[in-house]
Parts: sequence; structure tokens; C-alpha cells
Amino acid sequence: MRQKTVLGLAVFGTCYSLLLVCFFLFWKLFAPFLVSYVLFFAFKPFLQFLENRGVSHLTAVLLIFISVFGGLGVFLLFFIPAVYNEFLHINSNLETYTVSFSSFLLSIRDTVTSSTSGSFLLRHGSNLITPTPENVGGIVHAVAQKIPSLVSSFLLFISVVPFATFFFLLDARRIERGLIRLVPNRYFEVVLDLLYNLELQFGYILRGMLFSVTIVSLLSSLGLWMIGLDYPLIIGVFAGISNLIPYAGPVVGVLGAFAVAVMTGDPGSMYVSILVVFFLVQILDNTVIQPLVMSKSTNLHPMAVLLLVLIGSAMGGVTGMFLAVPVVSLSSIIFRIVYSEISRPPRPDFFQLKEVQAVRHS
Amino acid sequence: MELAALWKNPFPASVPSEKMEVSFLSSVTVFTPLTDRQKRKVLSILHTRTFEPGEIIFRKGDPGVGMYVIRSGQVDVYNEYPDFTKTRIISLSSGDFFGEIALLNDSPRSATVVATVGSTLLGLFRHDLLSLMDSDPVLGMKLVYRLAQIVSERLRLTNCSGD
Repeated sequence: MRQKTVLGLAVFGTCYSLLLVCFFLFWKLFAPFLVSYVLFFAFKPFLQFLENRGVSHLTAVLLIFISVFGGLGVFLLFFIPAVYNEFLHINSNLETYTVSFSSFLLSIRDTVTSSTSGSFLLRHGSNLITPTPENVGGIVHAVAQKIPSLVSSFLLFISVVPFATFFFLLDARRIERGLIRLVPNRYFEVVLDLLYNLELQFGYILRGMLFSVTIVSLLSSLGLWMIGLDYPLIIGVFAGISNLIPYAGPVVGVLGAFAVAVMTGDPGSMYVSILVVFFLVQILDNTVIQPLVMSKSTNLHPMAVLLLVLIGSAMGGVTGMFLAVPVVSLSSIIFRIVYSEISRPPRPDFFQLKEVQAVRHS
Repeated sequence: MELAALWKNPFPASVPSEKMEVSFLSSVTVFTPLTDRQKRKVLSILHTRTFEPGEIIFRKGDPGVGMYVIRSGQVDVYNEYPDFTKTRIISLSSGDFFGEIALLNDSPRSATVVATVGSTLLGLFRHDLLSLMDSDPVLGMKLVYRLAQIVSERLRLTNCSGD
């Protein structure tokens, strides 16, 4: 590899890494816009569909916006009372759940105490697994203190997302063209090629994720409903979303189902049934869904994926774990195109070439 | 870059004088079979680029992603040889187009094109054409069929000139 190529790649790699670090550090700032762009991307085919049938751009945008966000508003009107009732139900059973959970934790403590290494652990961290009312009260107090900031962040988020989505739908083409216009002629075609490839890959990733979440949520919910676990839909959707985190996701789904089983005081056989359901869903996911939908979106070695998830977790917590693989998948395209541009062999200066033939006018 | 560019809106609300642009597209061989509505649609996927006199638009061997229509100005098309020589093949002006092979496949550019005077070009690129074929197959097919006609005609002329 030429020295110039290595230097170019090093400079580009450093700048790109800094950009990624900034993104992970300030992801809360970018999150509403990222969500809006994802929504815009999901609605784009409908926009094209309407425009191809002669509907004007503004009318098409308004139609999509009103039907989606209006529909969501109507859905929430019906959904919020249902969720409220669900919480009332949980609230009325909270004492039972707490007792079940405490006895579960106490049984763990008894098991741990009986082992030699466990007694060492207990000496240093007994508070962690002693579910006294003071401990539980402290946790509830801490959570309650965070509620106002969480609510304000959520309200800000849900007010920015529809606004930004509307303007992405309305002006994305203009913004994209305006930005491309700023690129110097020398790099114009490379940047255009890069943007097209990124858009294509982003589409594959998004469609793959949506498909995977839907199928895993449905299958998990169905399986959990069949074995008689409470709240199968909520746990199923939770498992479907957490399944987006490679390797760790399915475990999180199982733990969620276990938590419900513990709180509702289900018998021991329920835990085996939960494991069987998630095992079957994982087999289906890994043999049918993933190869079908994700093969185009990521072409990474399993070890690399695991490493990326760990790095993502260290940099951005759960969000980092979700974003690690898609970000690297998109970055690999950027590096491939930049590398092919930087590593092109040097050519003689065009204006130094000797002209040898007469002009033939059109 | 002029200082005024810093506060100038880089995303103008509409393309200036769309009617004029549509009538210009009517004069370009590739777009003549299209209706006005289809021309407006094509116009929405074209990229306008301006080049200084003597600026290289692309060089032989560069990866090609699309064709250019000359809106105004003049360009020279050159062939480059390994013995450090070049041959001017043709001079093109307003209404002419070049680089159409890159629309149909992803082979490298087969010639070098240089703007001889300040020129404004309209770029039509492969990915936009593919998206257009997805979203509006009738228009996409019309355009690709026209391009195939032009490329085959140019191939026939090249073969005849070699006889």
C-alpha cells in the first residue's frame, strides 16, 4: 500500500472516529432527528406512490402526515385507557408481586449462603439481595424523583419527532440536493455514489429490523400466550425489540418473561416452558428470519458483531448496543468507497499530455 | 467562495423558470419522446453543476455514475493514451450530452471531458434512473429505450467510420 494511501486512510479514519464519538456522546440531541429520518424513510414509498398517481407533493405529504399521526392519536386515545387499566391492575396486585419477588430473592440468598464463595459475597453485598421495605422504598423514591425529567424529555421528544418528520417529508429532496450542490465538482460523483449506497444499505437495515421485530414479537407473544404466561403481548413486543441487540437481546427477552413469571407466582414448570418458547423462536429467527432479511444488511463475522455490541454498550449503553452493528455496517460502505478513491494509482497531469490529432467538430 | 454564500439559503424553494428548463429538455435528443409532465419529473432528478473554463469534468478511467447534458457552454472530449498523448475526439455544446454509457453499466469512463468555457451541465445519474424505473416504470422504460437507441446508433456510426 502506498504511503499516501495509508496517510489518507489514517486522516480519514481519525476524523470519522471523532465524528462517531461525538454522535455517541450527544446521541440524545440527534435521537429525535434520527427517529424522524427513520419515519421519513418508512413513509417515502407511500409518498412516491401518491405522487406517481398525480397527487401534488404537498397534498401527498399532508395526507401521509394526517393519516399516520392522526391515526396514532386516535390509537392512543383508545390505548391509553387500556394501559391505565393495566397499571391499575398491576397496582392492585403490587403487594402480591412484591411478596413473590422478595421470596424469590430470599430463596436465591439462601442458595448463595449455602455455598462457600456465596458467604463471601453476602458479607460484602448483602444489601443488594435483602429486599427490606426500606430498600424497596429507596428504589421507588429514586424512580419517582426521575419521573418529571423523564416526562419532560419524552414530551420534547414526541413534539420534535412529528415536526421534523413533516419537514423531512416536505423538503428532504431539496435539503439533499442543496447539500450535494455544496460538494466541489472534483468529489461530486464520489459523494453521490456514496450517498446512494448508504441510502440503499440503510433501507436494507431498516426493513430487516422492522421485519425481525414484527415476526419475533408475534411469535414470542403467541408462544407465551399458549403456555399461559400473563401479559404475553407486552413481553412479546419487549422480546422482539430487545432481539435487535445481537446475542444479549434474546437473554433480555427471557429475563423479562421470567420476571413476569416470578411476580405472578407461576410454578417452576412455567420457566421451562418460557425457555422452550424462546428457544423455538430463536431457532426460527436464526435459521429463517435473519438469513432472509439481514443477509444484505450486515456481512460481519459473529466475533466482530459480539465485539461491536460490547463496544457499543461501553460507549452508549443500550442505545449503543442497538446502533453498533448498523453504524459499522454503514461505516464499512463509507470506508470501501473512500479507500477505492484514495488508493487509485497516480495519473499523469492531463494538461501535460501531448495532443496529437486534429479536432472533429459535432 | 463568496462571503454572501454563507447566509444565502442553500435550499431554494423552487427551480427557477421550470418552463424554460422543460422547453430546453425538449431540445435534447434523449428526452424528446417524453411528455411535459414526464420532463418535469426528469427535471426533478437532474443535478445542476457549473464548471470553470479548463476544469476537468471527469477523466478516462474514473468510476462513472451517470451522464451530463450541456445546458450552456462548451466541452471537449479527449482520449488518453499510455504514451502520454491525448486526442481531442469531439467538441460538444448546448443541448449535447455525454457519458451515457455510465447510465447503463458501471464500467469506468472511456474518455476525458474538459470544459473549454464556463459551462452549466445537468447530470442524470444511474441510481436516480433506477429509482425512477421503480417509481414510474413507464417513464423509466421510455428513457432507457431512448438511451439504448442512442447508444446503438452511436455504435453503428463508430463501426461505419472504421470501415
